[in-house]
Amino acid sequence: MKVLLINSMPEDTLSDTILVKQVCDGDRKAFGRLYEKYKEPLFRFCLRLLKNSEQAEDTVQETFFRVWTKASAIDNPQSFRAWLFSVARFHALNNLRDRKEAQEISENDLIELDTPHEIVVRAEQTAGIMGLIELLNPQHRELILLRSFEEFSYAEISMITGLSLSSVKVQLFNARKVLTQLHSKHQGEKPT
Amino acid sequence: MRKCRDFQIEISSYYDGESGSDEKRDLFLHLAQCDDCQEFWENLHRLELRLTGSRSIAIPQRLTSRIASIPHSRTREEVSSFLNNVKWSIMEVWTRRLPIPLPLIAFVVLVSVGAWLFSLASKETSFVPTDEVIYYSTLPAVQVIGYYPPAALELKR
Repeated sequence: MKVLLINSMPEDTLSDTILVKQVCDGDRKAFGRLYEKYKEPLFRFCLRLLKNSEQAEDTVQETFFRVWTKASAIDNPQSFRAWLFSVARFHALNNLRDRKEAQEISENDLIELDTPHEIVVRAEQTAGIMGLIELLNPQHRELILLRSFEEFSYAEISMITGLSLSSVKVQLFNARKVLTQLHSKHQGEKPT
Repeated sequence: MRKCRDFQIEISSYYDGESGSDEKRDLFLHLAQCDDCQEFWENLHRLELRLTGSRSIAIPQRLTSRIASIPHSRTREEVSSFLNNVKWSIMEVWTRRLPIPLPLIAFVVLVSVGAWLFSLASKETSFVPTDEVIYYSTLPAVQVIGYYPPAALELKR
C-alpha cells in the first residue's frame, strides 16, 4: 500500500520525501542535495523580500540550519518545499521587523496619492521590474514572489503565509493591481 | 450583481490555474463585453511575461561555505556553539555597517543615563515640602477639584 502511495506521487515530491527522511537519519549528502536543489529559489525569495544580500544569506543559513536540526519535526515531508519557504519567511520577516522599514508604500498610498512618476520610472530604470516590486509593501511583495517567481499554488501560499485561501486570492489580486498600475504608468512614460 | 473588481480577482486566479469551471464561464461572458477587464487581462499578461523573464539570480560564493559550516553533530553543545558564532557574525555585520564604534555609543548612552539619574536625585534632595503641598496631597483628587477651589481653600485655612 505504501509503495503504491509513493509511486503515485510526483517525482520531485518523491525525492524530497526520501531526502528529508535521509536528513532525519543524519545523512549529510542528502542535506547537501536539498541545499543544491533549493539554494537558488530560497536565496532569490529572501533577497527580494529583504532587499539586502547579507541578511538574505543569514536567513538562508538559518533556514538550512533548521532543516538539519529540525528535519524530524516536519509533519508532512511531501510539502517540504512549502515548509522550507515558511521557515525562511519567518526569519526574513523577523529581520524586516528589526529593520523597521520606514518606506513601505501601501496599495492605498499608491492609488490615491498618485505616486510621482519619477519614483516609478527611476525604480524600473535601476532594477527593471524588480525595482517596481520593491515599491510594494512586504505582504504584497511576498505574495508576488511566491506565486509569480516560485509558482506555489494558492494552498501552499496559504500554508506558508498563514492567510486563508480567499485572502490569498484577493491579496494577490491587490498586489497585481498595484503592480500593473505601476508597470503601465512606466510603459506610458517611455518614449515611443 | 458582480462588479468588475470581482471579475478581475477571477482573472488573477484564472491566470494561476485556480479558477473553478463556473467562475470561468461567468468570467468569459463578462470579458466579452467589458473593455476595462480586457485591459486588466492584457496588462496582467504583459506583467507576468516580464516577471518570468527576471527569475535568474547570482548566488554568493560564500553561501555554500556558510551552509557547510553547519555542524554535522546535532548535540546541544555543538548547536549552541554554532548559534553563538552566528550571533557573533550578526554583531560583526552591525559593527561593519555602523560608522561609529559600538563602545563609543555605549559610553555616550551610559554618561547620558548617569547624568539624568543625577539630575533626578538632586531634584529630590532640594525639594522642601510646604504646608500647602502637604495639605493638597492628603485630599482625594475629586474633592480638591470639586469642593476646594483655591478661594475656598484660602477660607478654610
